[in-house]
Amino acid sequence: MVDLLFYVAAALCVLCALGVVVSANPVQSVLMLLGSFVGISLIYLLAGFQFLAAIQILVYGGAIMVLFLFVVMLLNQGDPAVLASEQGLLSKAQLAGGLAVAGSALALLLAAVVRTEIPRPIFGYLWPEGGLDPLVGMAQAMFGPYVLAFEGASVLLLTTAVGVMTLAKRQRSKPSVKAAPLSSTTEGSA
Amino acid sequence: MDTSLVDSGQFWPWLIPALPLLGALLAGGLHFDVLRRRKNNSDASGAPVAAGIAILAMAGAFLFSLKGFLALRAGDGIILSTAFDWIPTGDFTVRWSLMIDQLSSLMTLVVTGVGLLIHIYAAGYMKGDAGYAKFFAYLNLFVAMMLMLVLSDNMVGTFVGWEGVGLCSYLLIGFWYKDGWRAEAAQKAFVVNRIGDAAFLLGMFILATTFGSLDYSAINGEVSLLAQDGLPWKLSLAALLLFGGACGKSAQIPLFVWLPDAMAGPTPVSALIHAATMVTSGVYLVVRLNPLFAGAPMVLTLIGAVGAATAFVAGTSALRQRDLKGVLAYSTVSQLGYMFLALGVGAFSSAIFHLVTHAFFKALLFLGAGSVIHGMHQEQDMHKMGGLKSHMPKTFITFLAGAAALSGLPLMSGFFSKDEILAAAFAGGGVSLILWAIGLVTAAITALYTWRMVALVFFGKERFDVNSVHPHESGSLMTTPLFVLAILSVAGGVLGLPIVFHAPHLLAEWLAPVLEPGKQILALAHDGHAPHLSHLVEWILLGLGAAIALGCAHIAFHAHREGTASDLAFETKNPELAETLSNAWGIDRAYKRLLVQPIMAAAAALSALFDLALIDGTVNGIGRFAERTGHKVARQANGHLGSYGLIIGGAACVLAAVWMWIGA
Amino acid sequence: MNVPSEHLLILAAILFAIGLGGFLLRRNVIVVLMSIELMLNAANIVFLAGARQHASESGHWLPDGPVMVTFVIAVAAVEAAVGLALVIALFRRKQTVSLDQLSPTSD
Repeated sequence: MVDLLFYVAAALCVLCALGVVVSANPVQSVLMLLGSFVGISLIYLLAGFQFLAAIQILVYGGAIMVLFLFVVMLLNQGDPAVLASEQGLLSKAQLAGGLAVAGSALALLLAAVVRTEIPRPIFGYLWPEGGLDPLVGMAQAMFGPYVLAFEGASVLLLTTAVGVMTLAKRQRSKPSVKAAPLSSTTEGSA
Repeated sequence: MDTSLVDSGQFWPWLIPALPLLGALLAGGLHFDVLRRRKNNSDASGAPVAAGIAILAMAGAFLFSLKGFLALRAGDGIILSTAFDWIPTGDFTVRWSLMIDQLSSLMTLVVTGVGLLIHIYAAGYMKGDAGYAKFFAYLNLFVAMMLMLVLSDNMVGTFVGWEGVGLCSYLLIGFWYKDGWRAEAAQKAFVVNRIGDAAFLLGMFILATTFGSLDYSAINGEVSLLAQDGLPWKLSLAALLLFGGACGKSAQIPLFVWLPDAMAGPTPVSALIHAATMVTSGVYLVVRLNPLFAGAPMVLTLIGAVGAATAFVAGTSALRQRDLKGVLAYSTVSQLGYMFLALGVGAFSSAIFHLVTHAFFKALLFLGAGSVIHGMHQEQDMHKMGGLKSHMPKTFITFLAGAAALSGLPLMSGFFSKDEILAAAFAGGGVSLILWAIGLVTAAITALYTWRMVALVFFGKERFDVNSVHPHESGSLMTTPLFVLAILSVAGGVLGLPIVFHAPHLLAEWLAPVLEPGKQILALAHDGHAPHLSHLVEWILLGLGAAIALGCAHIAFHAHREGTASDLAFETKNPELAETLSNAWGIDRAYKRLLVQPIMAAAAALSALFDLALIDGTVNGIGRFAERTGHKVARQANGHLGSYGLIIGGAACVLAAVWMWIGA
Repeated sequence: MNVPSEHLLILAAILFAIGLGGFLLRRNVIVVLMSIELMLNAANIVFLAGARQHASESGHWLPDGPVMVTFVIAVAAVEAAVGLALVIALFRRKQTVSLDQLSPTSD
């Protein structure tokens, strides 16, 4: 019964992923991605990673997807008029190349999976009380062996915040960088 | 015979070659200073100091040579001075060591003494030349190398000096290298010498492998022992090869073609290198290894024949030269032929005697010619001279002395040395009698061309415009050495008075210890007796030589006294003969046609094939390939993210596939 | 859940391939960024499949898998943020989000 749920979630993931890639409308793509994330979160939960399942929904679904949606809306990508003007057809070579690479990647990965001997555990996949990612254990790991990565990630987040604000800042219509000419040399257009 | 010499523990012999070497370094340094000053347009007055340094170095070397000579005369025994082991390889060791024995001390005296006079002369002759300091650096270096050649106690040291004098000869012949033909002459000298050097090396290899040592004392000692039963053919071959090397350095047939061209160098160079010292290296080598050559009678005969032939061919060529220095150049070749003739008949001390007297009078003649050329403002064609005896009296007097000695006028030094050679040839009988005949004819020719030269240059009417040329006598720096050499040319005969004068032959007595082994080996061939002549025959031969010299001198003098008439008459009557003779019997031209041109053509063809097409093609081809491939590959950096992603993804897939295939 | 690990890996493979295809084939920059997120998620699944397998095999649990996934999620968020900020900045210049028109002209 639980296994069936896994396969359903898996099917959801795959179908939604296809939807992301295939949709013409970026807004649709975003929503499809969200569906994929939900499926993945469900799989995490079924496998015993309760904390991560929550994190997946919160961060991916709640933050990243929102961000994507914001940007899509901001750039008017949902407008059919804008969409129509932007559609470009892929050239045959590009299509073939892309499909070939993706297809071969799939083939390789599947081949790798098939060739690997993964033993079945005797008593099945069990997890202890609290799941396979208990908060206490995770915290101990984060502030133990992985403290450097943890601190690095914090710095990264901070930097990103500042960087994103700088990057996306709206340019003033009156340029504030242009200095008053000190000499009489004429300047070219900016 | 004790073949080992004990090191004397004295190091002053090293000063003999070291002082000129130091002089060369200092003078060379001064030259760079001169260049630097000239670039800064400041006064380049350091140059005369270079001459002073060089002359001082020569004087020092001469004094130490004298010291060695006196030490030997006092009966000290041979002085061996070892610096250090150069090539120590197990059984075979080569050392840097000098040996002062009778032969080498005599050679050092000649080299440093005549060299000193020539240095003094050059100080005056080369005045005003841009490379004044460089000239003296080269000259001193040459002397240092020549001293190394004669003083070394083993063949390797001699070879170092051999090569060194070859190098300096190249540098000095091409001293005014800005004239292309002079540089070519220098190159020709070097290349022809190289051929001889190859033979020298091969001879050395044979001796080294046979005796396990290249020390003269070891070689000579062993050869003397072996010669009792006749030398093996390998050693005769070694002797032949060494003679080949001597031919190159001493300008014998077939390797003499460089010496006439070498007149492209300044006259002091011709005097020092191509008259007095370097060209005598071949003679020195044979005398130094006299047991080896004495034990190879066929090689000796060949040496005599080559010497005689060379003397004759060169002598006839000198007869038709218009260039003053050209006459002297061919004369040098001819006189060297005499020395080899002497060696060929076993008269080793006579060869050395002639070497010494020739050094005196030939250096004198070259320096005098330089004085003439200097006074005539670089004119060298004798047809454009004449009547100079009143314009340049000192040069004239000294030149006469030299000419008298060269032509063998009685009681001059050249008379005694040349007649000694001819007497030895006559005494040998058989083949050497033929050599004697050739030598006699050549003596006549020698007198002819010598006095033709004197007459054309100094007598008769001036064949130039006196008012525009203004020939002047040279300064005392140049004329003083001329006088010293003139005295030596006239009086030098006392070194080797013939037996019939009832006076000791100083030179032969002096060299006897060195030449004894060879003499004994030669005596074996004649059943223990050295060939000798009765006193009557000797007097007759002396008289014959004197008569020929005087007679031919008279003929030539009067034929050319009034001018170039008889020269030109000969040319019109026998144009081809005149042409051939003036070109040394066309040998040089034959070399050019048969050897030089085919080799150059082959070199050009090979160069075009291998160098241009193959190597350049490959290297350039690689470059072009890299460029083209680079262009093609650079096209993928087109800024399109899509293509980037494709390439990266594709490559990753390929790598992953390979990895899985290998089974990592 | 007793789904064998292979199935989890196969799911990850499929998601990754789909993400890769989207990354290579779509012209819209934002969709490309989303495909990248998809690929990252596929990687997360692999990590966790491994963690689960190890825990079941050895009987004790290691934090490395979940910690790794946590960091991947954090970095993915960062990357998406920065990428989108760039897209916004670019859009202001070029008024388009199509890759074809956003790529710099080649030589």
